[in-house]
Amino acid sequence: MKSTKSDLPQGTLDLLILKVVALGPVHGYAIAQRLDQVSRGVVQVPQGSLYPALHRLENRDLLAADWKATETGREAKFYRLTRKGRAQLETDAASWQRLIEAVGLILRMSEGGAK
Amino acid sequence: MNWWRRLWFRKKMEVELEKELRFHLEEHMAELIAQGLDPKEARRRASLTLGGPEQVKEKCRDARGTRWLEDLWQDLRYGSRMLLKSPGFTATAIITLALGIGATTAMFSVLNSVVVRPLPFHEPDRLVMLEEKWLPRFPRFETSPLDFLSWKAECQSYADMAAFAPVFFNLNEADLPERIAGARVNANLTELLGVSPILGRVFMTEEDAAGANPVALLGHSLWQRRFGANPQIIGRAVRMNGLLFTVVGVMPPTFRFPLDAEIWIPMSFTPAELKSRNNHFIWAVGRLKPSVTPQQAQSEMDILMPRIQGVWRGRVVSFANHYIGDVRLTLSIMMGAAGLVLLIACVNIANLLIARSATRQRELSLRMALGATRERIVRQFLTETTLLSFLGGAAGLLVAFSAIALVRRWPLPAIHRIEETSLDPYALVLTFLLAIGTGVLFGLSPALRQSRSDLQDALKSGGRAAGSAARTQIRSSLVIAETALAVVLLIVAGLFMKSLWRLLDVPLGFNSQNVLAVDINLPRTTYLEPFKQVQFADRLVDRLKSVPGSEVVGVSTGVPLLAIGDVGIAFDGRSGELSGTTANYYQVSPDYLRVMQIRLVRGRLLTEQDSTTSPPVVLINETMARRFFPDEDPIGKRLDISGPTYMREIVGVVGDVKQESLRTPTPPQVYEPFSQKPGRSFYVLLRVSANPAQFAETVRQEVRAIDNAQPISEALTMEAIVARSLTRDRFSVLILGAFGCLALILAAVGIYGVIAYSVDQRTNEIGVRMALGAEGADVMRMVLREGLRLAISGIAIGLLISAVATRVLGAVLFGISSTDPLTFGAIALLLCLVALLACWIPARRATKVDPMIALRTD
Repeated sequence: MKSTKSDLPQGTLDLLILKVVALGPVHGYAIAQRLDQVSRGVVQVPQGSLYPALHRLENRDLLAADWKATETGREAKFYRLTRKGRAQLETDAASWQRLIEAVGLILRMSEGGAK
Repeated sequence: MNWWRRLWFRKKMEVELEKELRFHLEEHMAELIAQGLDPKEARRRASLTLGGPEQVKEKCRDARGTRWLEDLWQDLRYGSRMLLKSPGFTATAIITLALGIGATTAMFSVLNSVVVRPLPFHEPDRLVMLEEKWLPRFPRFETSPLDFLSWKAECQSYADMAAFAPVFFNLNEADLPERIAGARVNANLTELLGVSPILGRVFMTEEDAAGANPVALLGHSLWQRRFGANPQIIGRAVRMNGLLFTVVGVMPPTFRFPLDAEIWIPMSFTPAELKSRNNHFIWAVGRLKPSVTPQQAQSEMDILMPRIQGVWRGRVVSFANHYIGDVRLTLSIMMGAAGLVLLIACVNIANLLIARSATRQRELSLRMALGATRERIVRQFLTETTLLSFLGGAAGLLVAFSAIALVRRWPLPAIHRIEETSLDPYALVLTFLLAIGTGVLFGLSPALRQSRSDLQDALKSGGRAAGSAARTQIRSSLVIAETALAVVLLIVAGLFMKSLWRLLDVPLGFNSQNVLAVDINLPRTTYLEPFKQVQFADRLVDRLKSVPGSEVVGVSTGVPLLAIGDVGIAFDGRSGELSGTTANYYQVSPDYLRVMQIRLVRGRLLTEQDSTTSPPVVLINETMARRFFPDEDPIGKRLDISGPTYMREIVGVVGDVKQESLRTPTPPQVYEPFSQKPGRSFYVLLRVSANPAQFAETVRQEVRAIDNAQPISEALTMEAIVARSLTRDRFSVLILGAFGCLALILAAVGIYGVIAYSVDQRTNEIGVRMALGAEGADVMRMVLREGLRLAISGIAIGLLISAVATRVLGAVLFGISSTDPLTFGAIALLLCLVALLACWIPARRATKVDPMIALRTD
């Protein structure tokens, strides 16, 4: 079975995950739900890329994980942000902001270029 | 997340991953059910959204980063399991690899030790031996002190030159006389060779003069053996040949120049030795100047010699050629044989792997269908083949070690430094890589060639997919190739064997059974006068005659196939034509010829009456009689022998005796009575009733009874001497025979494999044929014919290659041509038989095919 490619580039997914986790310890399913809800369905995270991303971030010591019980009583793996992860989040978010502004500038410039 | 933890808690992590994904699935399901979907539909939807669980897991594992290590471990375990599942294949492969790698490595190690390794001197490629020659009779001969000094004064090619002369000493230490090998050397010899003593110093120039204080350098083994490696040895006196020598130094263990010497004394030319230019008894070593080649030095020598010498010419021989010149060809042949064995082994491995790939077709397709990437499969195959190669290599290491241990245990005296053979790591690595390379190449190709599109076909037909035709073709070609190689190797072995056979048939000219030869060397100091020498010999012969078990006792200065001196000869009344002709020269007691049972052809043997007071007489051999007296009776003619010259009367003609080797034709030989012409070095020979070797101790005791300080050196039976002269030939036959057998076995296994596979493939066809009325015998004939076809192609190619390749053996073979038709024919026949034998089992299996079952299965 072939896996579908993500719409988001890899780096962006990481950034979004870090942000969601920054708001508090959360398990994988909850992250997927959150992303879907908050972006109002625009950000479609194929759930098959979610978990590899989570494990990758855990690998890099940006996230730490514990097994805890949910409200329903079942055990799930909860991820939380590490100090390193928080720093990375700030850096990546700042880069992303800069990128957006730069792209915005370029796009506006092209429109006005016909002057 | 700790690297370490990730590796060790892999199992735990797998469980957790499973749990995590399951949790996700169930949460999603719960949500969908909450939205109103039916549970089954909810599960399906949730699974779809998540993606294939195995693939998600794979990706997560990738993310973990220790992937390659975990994969490797998994591959190894899987690989070992697969290897254990087919023990026949695995065992055959490992043994084949072991034999190929082991044989080649061992052979290469021997070659390395004997030929390739530099000699233990400083810059040995700059060193040359300086000798003389007088063609055609003396291709190599000693030089004389005066010639040497002329060279030293006039030659420009050398940075330095030193002379040496091998000498034997009777060591009288602690009441245990021992004969040791040593040399007289110029003081600068050790420095020229670039070797320093480990204790003390070397000779000073002042000590290298006639009349100087006698000093000596001890060899390491002598120092350990007789002086207990005593560090206070310097300054101690050592008694040899009745004289006292002061020890000034000890040489390192690797220094045994020139011929396993254990002790050295200064050359100290005496005035007597410097009198005549023709006093040839020394050898010389030169160190060439940096830019001079041996050829240039030889040219200089060729110009110089005619000026200072009459007939003698000089010879400049590089050390390499001197030490290993004649053995190089033999060793190269051995190396070639080992290489062939390795090649055949690789071909066999390739064959085995190709056969294996056919059976694993199904497994391969299944795995790919389940989602394994081609990369992963290739990696797994690689690991498996490498594992197999490693095991084979380890086994090969064992084989090599054992072989080398054997060589060290029974080193051949004829080959320099063979006892120092040690495992050559480069050879091992090289052969290893070659074996692995073959394994990788042929093990991987099935995995690489597999593409997704054939998956269906492969799964359906279960191993008989397309591509097997090509595979069979490759395998057949490989088997033909390996048969050809085996033929070449076996023909070489066969030629050597026949050559040895011919050698063993050569008539010796004497009876070697029940004869013991003992080497005696009387020191100059106590036995200078000839009458003392005769006295000693007579006394010894008398004593030994009365020993129980001894039948005849004799004395001789020369022993066939062991030692001899040569003399120039001239006949009374003829001159000129004989210059340069020499004869083997034996100074013998009357009974010697009876001990050796040498045939008398004409005239009489020597008797007790031939002594110093009677006229000088000689015996000549048949060759001499035939060559110089073809139409007349030699009896009564007179003969002159060089140094000192006087006429001797020929009183008898005796049979030829093989002296130098069984191969060389017998030269003229002349026997003079020991009483008329004694010597200080001679052999006493006993013919006994039985067990000649046991008389050695008796001889030693009788010798000491006459002279307490006199040791004996070697005591050998004539049979041992004859055998020893054939050592190299026997060694060659042994090694080549062993390699030949290996090659034969491997080729047989190869043929068996291909034919067995072919029968397997053709089960259907056989079933059809049998259903149509073919008998068991017909089927068998069909299979055998196929096998024979392969074999004959291989044999034909092999014979062709051999016909060309064996020319190089011409120099080493005796009595047969390098394209001996009998040998070629015999080997061809042998291989046909072996091929038939190898096909027998599959052929029988083919006849057992039940047509009903065969037709039904597919």
